[in-house]
Amino acid sequence: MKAVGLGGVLADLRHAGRLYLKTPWQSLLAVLALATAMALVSTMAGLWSDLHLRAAPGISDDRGLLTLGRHGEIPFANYSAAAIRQLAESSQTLESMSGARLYQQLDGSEIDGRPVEGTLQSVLPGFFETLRPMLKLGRALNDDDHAGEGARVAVLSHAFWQDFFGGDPAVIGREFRLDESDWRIVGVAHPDFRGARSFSPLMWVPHGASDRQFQSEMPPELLDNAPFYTPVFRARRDVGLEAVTREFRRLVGDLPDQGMFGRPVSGDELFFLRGLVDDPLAHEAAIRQVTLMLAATLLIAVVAAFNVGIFLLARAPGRRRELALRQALGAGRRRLGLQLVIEAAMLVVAATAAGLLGALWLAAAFKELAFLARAGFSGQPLNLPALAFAAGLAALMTVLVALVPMAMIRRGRLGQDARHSSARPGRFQQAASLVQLSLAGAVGAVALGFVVHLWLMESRELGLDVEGVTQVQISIERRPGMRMAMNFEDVAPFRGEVRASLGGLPGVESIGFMTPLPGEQSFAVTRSVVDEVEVQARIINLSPGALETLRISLLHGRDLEDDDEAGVLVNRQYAETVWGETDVVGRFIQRDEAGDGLDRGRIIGVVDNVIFDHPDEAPRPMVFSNAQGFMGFLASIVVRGDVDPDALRSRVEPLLESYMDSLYVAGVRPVSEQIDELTRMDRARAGITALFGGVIVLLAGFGFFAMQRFLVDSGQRETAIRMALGAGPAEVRRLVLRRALTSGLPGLFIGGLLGLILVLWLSEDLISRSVPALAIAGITVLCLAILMLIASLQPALRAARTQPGRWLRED
Amino acid sequence: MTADNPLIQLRELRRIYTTEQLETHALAGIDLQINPGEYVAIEGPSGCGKSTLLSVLGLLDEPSSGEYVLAGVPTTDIDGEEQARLRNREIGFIFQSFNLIPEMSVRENVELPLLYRGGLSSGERRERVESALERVGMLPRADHRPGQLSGGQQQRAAIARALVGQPSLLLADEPTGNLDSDSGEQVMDLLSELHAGGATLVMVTHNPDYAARASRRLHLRDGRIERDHGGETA
Repeated sequence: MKAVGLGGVLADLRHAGRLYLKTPWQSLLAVLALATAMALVSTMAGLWSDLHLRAAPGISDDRGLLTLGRHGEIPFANYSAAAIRQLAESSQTLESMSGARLYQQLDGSEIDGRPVEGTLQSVLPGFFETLRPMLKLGRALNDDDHAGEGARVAVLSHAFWQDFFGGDPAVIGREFRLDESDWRIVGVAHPDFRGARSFSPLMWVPHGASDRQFQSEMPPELLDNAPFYTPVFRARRDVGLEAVTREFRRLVGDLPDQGMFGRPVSGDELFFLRGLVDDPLAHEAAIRQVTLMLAATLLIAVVAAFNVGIFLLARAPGRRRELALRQALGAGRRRLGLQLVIEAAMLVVAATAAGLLGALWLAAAFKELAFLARAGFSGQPLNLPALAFAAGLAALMTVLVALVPMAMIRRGRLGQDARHSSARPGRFQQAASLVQLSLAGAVGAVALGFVVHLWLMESRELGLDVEGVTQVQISIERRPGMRMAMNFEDVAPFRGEVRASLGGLPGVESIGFMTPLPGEQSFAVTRSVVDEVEVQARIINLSPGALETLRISLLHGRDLEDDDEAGVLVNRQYAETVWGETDVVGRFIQRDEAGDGLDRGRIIGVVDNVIFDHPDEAPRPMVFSNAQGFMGFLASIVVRGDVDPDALRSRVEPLLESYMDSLYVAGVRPVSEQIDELTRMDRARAGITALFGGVIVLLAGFGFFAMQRFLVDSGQRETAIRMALGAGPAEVRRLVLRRALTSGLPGLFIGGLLGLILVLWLSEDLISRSVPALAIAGITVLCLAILMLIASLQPALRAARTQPGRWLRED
Repeated sequence: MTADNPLIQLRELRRIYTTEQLETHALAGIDLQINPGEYVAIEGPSGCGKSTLLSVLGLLDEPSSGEYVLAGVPTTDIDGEEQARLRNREIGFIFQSFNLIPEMSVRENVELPLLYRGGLSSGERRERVESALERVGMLPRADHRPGQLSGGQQQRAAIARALVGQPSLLLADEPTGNLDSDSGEQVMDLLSELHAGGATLVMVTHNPDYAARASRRLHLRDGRIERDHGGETA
């Protein structure tokens, strides 16, 4: 082929421009289809690379680094220093293991007389050796720092060094006074290093020194067993995740009792660290879903490009004549191919620009989605990998859009008279139809599965009724030197006064105290052996009246009373797990080991199961006890009735202040809002999947429409013959619809089957087993059939408007 | 139908093709009457309106103005479905390029008009199809595809398809245009036989020898009937 000069390319571009402007609506539709596909793929590629490829920041080597997640509980802390020490010593699969206490609030503290706000992380020995962070200045904490009671030395975060110490390069070795103690700076972290989770503390200090300063009243044995630490691990190079997980679960099961903190709970899942996220479980689930959606959108982009190729060909049967003429005038196949590629590129460039704008908009919307926010999505969708991906996709689309007419050139069909064109789908059309309908069936079924799953969850009986119940959240300002009241007697008069005060408000029907409420995270979990049965239970603190206020059913026994310091309630699940029956009033979950005769572990009542976590999770054993001491103050006040929230706040605040001036009302809101939190991630996930599924199905509909248009336009001569022989418009419409539906049947079948398989596969994990996969596949097939019918209507009407005289006239 | 009851009656029939800048009067006021049993040849130079006239007569194209009555039915007032019904029952088409559907066998092509008519059992349809194919000598090739036949054979199959519905009018547009002279002769002989059997035939042709076989010759120029030999202009 002779080289094509710039003039030739410009001529092709001009021609392409004229061609598209000649049929503006069709061109717009084609750009829209490609832009939609581009927007979806770019967004998903951006999300995928953001979630999957983001390296753990500020860490020199993140190979083998592990983190853990846990269903239904706060996904950090829960391991004691003793437990982490024992796990590290026992493990054969881990190279090293350590831990960090993530939240030691310094709000209200002073450094060198200047107030500071933020957190301090107490780290166990081996923390820096395990994470291997990069440092800006100085050194990391070492074994000497951890020796004995721990040295008062600190590694500063880069931001704190900049903000507080003005980025002074001579800061190493400098001493500062934190509250009442002197500390020495030994290092400054790399700007990207944020420790074990996604938020950056002010500094890292040895746990021994930190405990001496902030936990000085806690006995050392208790501190050693306090489940304050979030573990960090590094697996040995030659060991896989499965082996580490298997060993970790076994070792956790072997851990001894941690005194008053019970035994460490099992059920953690391990993940290789990808970025630093607060909720690795949500992160992992989001990656899986985004990967699925990326694959689906990529496929649909390919199909959309084919469709556009077909559609552009279909819009002008005269196009084939033009290309044939060019061939007759001496244009070789390669030259014609180049022209088609230029035409396609013009379309794809417009679509890419629109698609990337769409991706920016989509990412801004996605940033707010709970499941992505929880997974640690940075909100920056068009990162470098995503842009590279978009560029690659644009090139692929260009080739694909040009491929259909190019294939015709290759087959030498351009020179043939259009009158021999068939109105029946060829192998290519059948394959394209099959692929896109199969894809639409699969993705549509998955989207429907998510929506049905959400609907099932939201209509599930939770075991309580929160309609008309308002929650008054109590919180505490943390201040240095503050000591928590641990006296049971303190809370009883406080509650009495709250009841008296709020009871006087108009509309109040009942009042109770409870923490946590359903949907709130909690780490109050106990694992114990009761009557030789090991049971892991969640501890709920509540007061008399809470059951009535939240309409939780009491199956046996009685509710707590104000003077019940002893005695607990358990739920049905607890009773059935331990004793295999529900009427267990009078039994003990813990013997009166204190010997004070208070029978703290005696069961006085059994309540029905209440869903506190995700509605999909099986009911968990629960113990309901009278919130005592300081925790009693922090329990939420729940009020049933039509009450003014401001009135509640104004009555509770002065009462709180009169008992402890650091307590305050953090919020007043309907409990139903809290319950909504249970399925917030599912709503977001269902929403995004439904959106993607809907778009993919619509794109498939467009593809099917384009195919039928192509077939109708190609077969106008045949239609004209049939009309000449007596086929009326209705007969022609029926013929087109019949052929369309017949051609779509294999795609429908395979799409339905794929949908069924995918829904069944996902029901093991992302969606529930209660989702009726077969019904969903059936409904999807029905919806697709309706979509096919709608997509075929316009071509059918167009065919019925064929002017036989025009097509049968002899040229 | 007689002269008082013509099969075709055109009054001041016009067909104007309009583009953005141009108005082309393909038919510029045609008055014509064709009686049952006539064999009419339409002649004229390229672009004179022959094919347009045939398309309008076959209800494949609609006139811009004027009146067209076919078998007593004013065609300008009827909808697409009724036009299709008329085409199916009253008209048989024979095209220059045969216009057989390549994916169908000869038998299926010939059966097509009967399928659109409805009300006939498959046995009746088969009987009629085979009768039509036998009449044109194509029964032995009934199960062949058009692509397996010569041009002459394809045109005979197309004639069988035109005959199978027993229409009152056969319209032929250059029926020998794509055939060699021997095949063309055979087709013309066949049309003469059909006319002799009572069929009404309207044929567009460039060939004066074939036009001479007709009982009436219309000569068109610039969308008008310039001469009408053997008939009377209505």
